[in-house]
Amino acid sequence: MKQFIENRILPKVQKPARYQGNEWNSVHKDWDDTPVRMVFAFPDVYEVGMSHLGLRILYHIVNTREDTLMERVFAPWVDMEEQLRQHGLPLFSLESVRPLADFDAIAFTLQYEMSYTNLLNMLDLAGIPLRAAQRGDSWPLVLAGGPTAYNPEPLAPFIDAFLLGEGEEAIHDIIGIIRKWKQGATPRKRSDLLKELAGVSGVYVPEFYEVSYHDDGTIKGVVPQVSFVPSRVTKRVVRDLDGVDFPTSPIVPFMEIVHDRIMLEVLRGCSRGCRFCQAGMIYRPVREKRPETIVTQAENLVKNTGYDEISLTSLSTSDYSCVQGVLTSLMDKFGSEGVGVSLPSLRADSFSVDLAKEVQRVRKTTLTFAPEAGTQRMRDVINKGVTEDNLMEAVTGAFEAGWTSVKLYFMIGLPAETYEDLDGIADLAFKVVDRGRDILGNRAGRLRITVSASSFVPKPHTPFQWVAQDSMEALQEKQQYLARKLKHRRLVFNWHDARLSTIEAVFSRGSRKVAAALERAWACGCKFDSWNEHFKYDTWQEAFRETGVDPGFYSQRGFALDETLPWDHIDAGVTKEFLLSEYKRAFSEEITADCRHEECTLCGVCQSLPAALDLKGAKNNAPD
Amino acid sequence: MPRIRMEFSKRDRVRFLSHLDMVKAFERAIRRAGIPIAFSEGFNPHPKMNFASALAVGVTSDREYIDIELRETMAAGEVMSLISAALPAGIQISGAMAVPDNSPALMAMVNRAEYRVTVPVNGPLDTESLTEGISRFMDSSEVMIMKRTKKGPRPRNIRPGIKKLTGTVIGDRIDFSILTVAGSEGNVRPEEVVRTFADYLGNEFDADLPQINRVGLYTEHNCRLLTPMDMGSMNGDTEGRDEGGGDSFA
Ligand code: SF4
Repeated sequence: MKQFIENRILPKVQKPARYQGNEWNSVHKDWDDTPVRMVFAFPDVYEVGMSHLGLRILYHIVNTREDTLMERVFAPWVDMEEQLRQHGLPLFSLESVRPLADFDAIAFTLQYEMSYTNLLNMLDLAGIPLRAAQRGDSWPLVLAGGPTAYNPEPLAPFIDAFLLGEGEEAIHDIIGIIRKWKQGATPRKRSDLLKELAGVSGVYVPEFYEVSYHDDGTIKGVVPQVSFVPSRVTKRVVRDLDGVDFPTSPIVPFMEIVHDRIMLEVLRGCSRGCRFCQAGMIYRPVREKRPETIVTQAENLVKNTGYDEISLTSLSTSDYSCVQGVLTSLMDKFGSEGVGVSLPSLRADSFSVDLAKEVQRVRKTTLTFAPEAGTQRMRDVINKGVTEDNLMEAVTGAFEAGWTSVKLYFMIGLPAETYEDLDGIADLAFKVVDRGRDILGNRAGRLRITVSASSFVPKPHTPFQWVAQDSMEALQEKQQYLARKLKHRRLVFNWHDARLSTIEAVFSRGSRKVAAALERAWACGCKFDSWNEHFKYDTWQEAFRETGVDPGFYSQRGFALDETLPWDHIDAGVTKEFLLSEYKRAFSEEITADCRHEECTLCGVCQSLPAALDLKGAKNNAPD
Repeated sequence: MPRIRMEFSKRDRVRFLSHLDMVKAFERAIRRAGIPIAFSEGFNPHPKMNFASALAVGVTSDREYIDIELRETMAAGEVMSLISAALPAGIQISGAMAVPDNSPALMAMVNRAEYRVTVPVNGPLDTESLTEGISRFMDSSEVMIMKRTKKGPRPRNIRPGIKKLTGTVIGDRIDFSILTVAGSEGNVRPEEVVRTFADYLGNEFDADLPQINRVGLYTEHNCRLLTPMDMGSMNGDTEGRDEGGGDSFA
């Protein structure tokens, strides 16, 4: 198979390096000598998947174990899929070019809802039955984790077990169980394996839970069917970020990938508390790495990869309490070797611009800020702690330092939004243009302000989880309205396809019932939905019709505050009471402080999970 | 600044890397190896390295060349052994030498490329009739191809660019040996040669998925083919030169 693929298939596909698996630092273990074999599956193309830090972390942690190997597989691009289907070849892992069905477990990562069709397509290409109930004792275990697993229900029929939360420690528990099961008495029963896995903290095995519904389609309850599973599954969380293994010899792809640089995580979680933001809720509490850990890891990473750029990653790196010191040390250390430092996620304030100034000798790149909303009222609703003054100071600093292009991210379709808020977006954009012109003077010809508007999608485990999404028509109207307002030589306006956002909302907030529509859409050819050229809106609508799923029931309906939500049996640490109180504060336009700088706001995470707010350069407010 | 020239091969396992991928693979290997490479001046410094010629995706090569400039002196042998340990499997250094500061750039020097191209035979064909076909083909003064350009397809005569063509039938395949012009004198791609010859012969062999290996890159000099290593040693030292590798040429 390997020879055939190399000689007959790879020469015919675009970017054959996507399927080669022999990159620097890739791990190739002896198949026969390794008792447990897993494959990490990313339901998008190689360039996207290889840019994902979670993959790098798990690949390293698992392959450090002597008894387990982990290989990789990505969604094959359409040309490769065509070749595989034409020659009757199964989807294979990159490292050893083996069919996925040969592995003990396939671990999917779920980064966005619109990759679900790719997940089904990958199982199908591997010749593996899609539904867990159709998979007998000899099929690989199909696992899934990642942010969208916090509402596992739309994928429940297809996945054997979900892991909620951070995988660094939980993966060892899971491997231990698989290994024991493989060594146990034959014939081995899959049900025994699932039973053991369901006992691991953070693991959710959907087939052990039954969902019952009211006549109107809302949920009556999600109830365990067996005695050995918890009624709510709580996420896993790592306590000490310095203590967990972080890969310092990650794979260095040959071909260019989306984030083609060292990704060095400096902190995890964010407690700024934006009310639409799922990451800001599910990755709590904030835990920072010590500066010394970061500098040591950076040294090893440069030595082991040869990359010329270190990106200090997190949800918001300017919030790292030791960011200044770390930047200075890294630049002193690597400046002369041609290795640069970059900060991918900056707050909209002058402190952040100062940081950016420090790291960027060349002002070629665009600076990006995310005010998210156009009026102070709306920013209070969403709890975005950025004022117009903050933003104006930030862009002033940027223009004065020589940047000529600035990107502003906004969200439209937010709860309680009015056209005044849209006007606010336009006003803000024009203020930035004016400021740019004033400061740049005769260089104003180079000024370019990009305004990017995404559409609000209500997400589970956020204060806005109950909120109805705007209809597609309403979103499109708002986009058109802004497009008209933002016509200007110095402005570029772009927006996301509203049709895609409405389907995303269905799978973001759907119950198990939407699984049928997903399966149908896939069967009718939907895949790579988040790639414009492949998104088939009409096919999706037909799939909803044919399976009797009303998409609006999940996207455009405001969920009742006392309704059982499809994900209520999943515990992300943040309590429903906290989310509810945040929901109410939103509509009374009250802001809630960041627990890093003010009192603990009792979100529930540090109270209920074995982890706590952990800052290295500031005092902790977390309760004991 | 000291300049080191290296000769390397690109084997099967990395044959699908583009030229840009190769550039990055070297850049990163050099950093991993801790070689004191020099950087260009200016706002966006990049490491000073130059390749003799870009190799097409899917093509393997026995002998490619790269020059790197150092910011401090390091023996060619040491550079070679350090970088060898840091290069991905499939890229192998076979020789290294210091070349004088003022010697011409690789790119400007190379004007010939030699390839071995292997294709499957479709029908009964022996070396004799193949050879006869080749000499008729080579007798023509025009071999036209359609070249895709920015302004749409354009006809181009590649015959002047084909310096030598021989072929041997071995079992069910043909091994062609092709010498073409390269670099500053323009480029003729070996698959174009094989494709047009297949059409000329009436498709007696299958030119769809040719296996292509570049055998070497040369400078034609007084009717002799000299490698960049030969050129470099005309007045430089040859420390670190891998004996037996890289010194035979057609
Ligand atoms: S429990 Fe308090 S300190 Fe911990 S994350 Fe929540 S708000 Fe912050």
